[in-house]
Amino acid sequence: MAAHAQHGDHAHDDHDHDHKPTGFLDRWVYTTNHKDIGTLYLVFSLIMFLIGGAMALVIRAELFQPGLQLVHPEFFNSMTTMHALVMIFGAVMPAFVGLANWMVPMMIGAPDMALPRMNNWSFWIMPFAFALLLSTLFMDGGGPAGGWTLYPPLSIQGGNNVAFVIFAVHMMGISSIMGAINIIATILNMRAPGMDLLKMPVFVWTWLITAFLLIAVMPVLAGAVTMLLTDKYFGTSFFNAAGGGDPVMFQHIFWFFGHPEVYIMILPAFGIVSEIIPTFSRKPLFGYQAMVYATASIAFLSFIVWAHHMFTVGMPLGGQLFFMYATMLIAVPTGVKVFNWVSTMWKGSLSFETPMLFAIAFVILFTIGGFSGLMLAIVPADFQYHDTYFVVAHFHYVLVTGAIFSIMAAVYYWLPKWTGRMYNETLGKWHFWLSTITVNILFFPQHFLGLAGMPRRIPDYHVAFTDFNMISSVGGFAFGLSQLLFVWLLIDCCWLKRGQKATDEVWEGARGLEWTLPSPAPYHSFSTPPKIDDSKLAHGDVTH
Amino acid sequence: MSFDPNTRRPQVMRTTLILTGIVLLVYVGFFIRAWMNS
Repeated sequence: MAAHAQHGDHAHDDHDHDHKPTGFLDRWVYTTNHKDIGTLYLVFSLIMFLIGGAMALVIRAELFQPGLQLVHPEFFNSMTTMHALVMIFGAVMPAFVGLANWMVPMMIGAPDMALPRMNNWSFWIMPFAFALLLSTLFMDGGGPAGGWTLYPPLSIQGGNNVAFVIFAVHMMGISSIMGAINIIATILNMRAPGMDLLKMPVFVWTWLITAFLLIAVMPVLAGAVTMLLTDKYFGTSFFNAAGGGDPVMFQHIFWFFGHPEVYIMILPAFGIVSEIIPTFSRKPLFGYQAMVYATASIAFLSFIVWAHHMFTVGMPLGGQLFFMYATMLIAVPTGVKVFNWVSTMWKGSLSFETPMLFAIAFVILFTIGGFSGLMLAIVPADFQYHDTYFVVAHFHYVLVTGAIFSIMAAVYYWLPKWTGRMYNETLGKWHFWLSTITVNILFFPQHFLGLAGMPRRIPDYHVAFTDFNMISSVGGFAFGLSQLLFVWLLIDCCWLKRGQKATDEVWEGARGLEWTLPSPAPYHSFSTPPKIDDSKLAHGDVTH
Repeated sequence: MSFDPNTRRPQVMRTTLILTGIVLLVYVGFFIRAWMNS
């Protein structure tokens, strides 16, 4: 057991000299504190995860057997569209921003984010954006049903939900851009003296690179949806072939945003796993600089692979070859990362607390998602796989067992630092094993469905696909129920405060500035800059 | 030595302005490029 339990009151307990606002509005609505805003992001993300999950269960319930059982096809399509928008923009991205808010200042020795008031605004835009998006489900004509990719002309043939969705996407984009600017400004300007760029924890590095990706591509999405808006309401013909426009151009613009977006959702996950594995291996991270350069390489490559999402729309052979090989090239820096995680564990003194279990599952299951991605990169094979359940299986391995598992790992890893209490380890392990088993029951059969030709975004299917769909649906409901354990564990730790008191270091092998602070972390940390001791960094002394 | 974030204010403002400029350039740039294509 790596966790140290401590029973006495800590000399620096959180109520010492924190000057925490007392009123609810002052504490949560007007807050400029990075920890409070981080908490708001994480709570918001959890709520969105449950809403998006409920939508996924509607999909899996309808697909339990062939034929139309429970919902109208239009509503089914609305569910697939909204599930994706809610999970991507409401659950995964805000969770990572929440983790960045909580941890980046503490990891680089800064007192807060560089732009605290903008930080508040970045968060408080989000609930309004999602209220707008979810309100479309109650409108005449229902919510958007053309897929999260919003391809015209289908996406703008809906009713007035189009305007609501586009405005919501704009607001989410503004929130993300402001969050990204804040993170870059913080990392570049607020590091404690001695915290050189190449001494920063890998989580901070991955977030710095992710924030640049956000800056570069969120305006592209904003541009694309603005053009959709003007095409629908103001008579332009950006994507209308009848008016001289080109619907395929939307796909190019969308995926120029969309592919880097995929990495926006996975690079911070790489950072989290690179923090957790060294701690529970009791060894410095293997190949720190290689990790940083691999992250930067993946970010660069993410800009030159977008058209692999659209091989089937018709493209010159040279284009197909370029995008195929560029996509395959991403396997090289990603392989470096997987190699380094495994090498960090090699001959380490491993222990398997819940964060480490989720991190190891991430390495294995994300790699499965990576391999199916390589299969999809092969142009002639993609003609078979395109728009089938194989694609659905692929990106759910990357996003659920990749991004979401890393978020779970991060929450378990840093929860004692946030709350000052250990979570219930037994419950954590139950949550891990149930999630890992059921998520594979849910998504692995979808590979077979896709290879057999079952199309995605379809509420009914051929009877030949019944068995695997039934297995997948059972896995889906079991996975969904498993997450209630996680919710209970959080209530138990954060609200009922039933865990043992955590020490400052929390985990025996933990290294890095955040672990030098008391648990729970004081409301204002590092008002005097910490002294950087190279040998105490998470990845060891990299200066020689 | 106290750590006053305000001492970093000029650098923070410069970074913020440069990044905001990039955002606007990308947004307007893609618009113009798409306009030329349609």
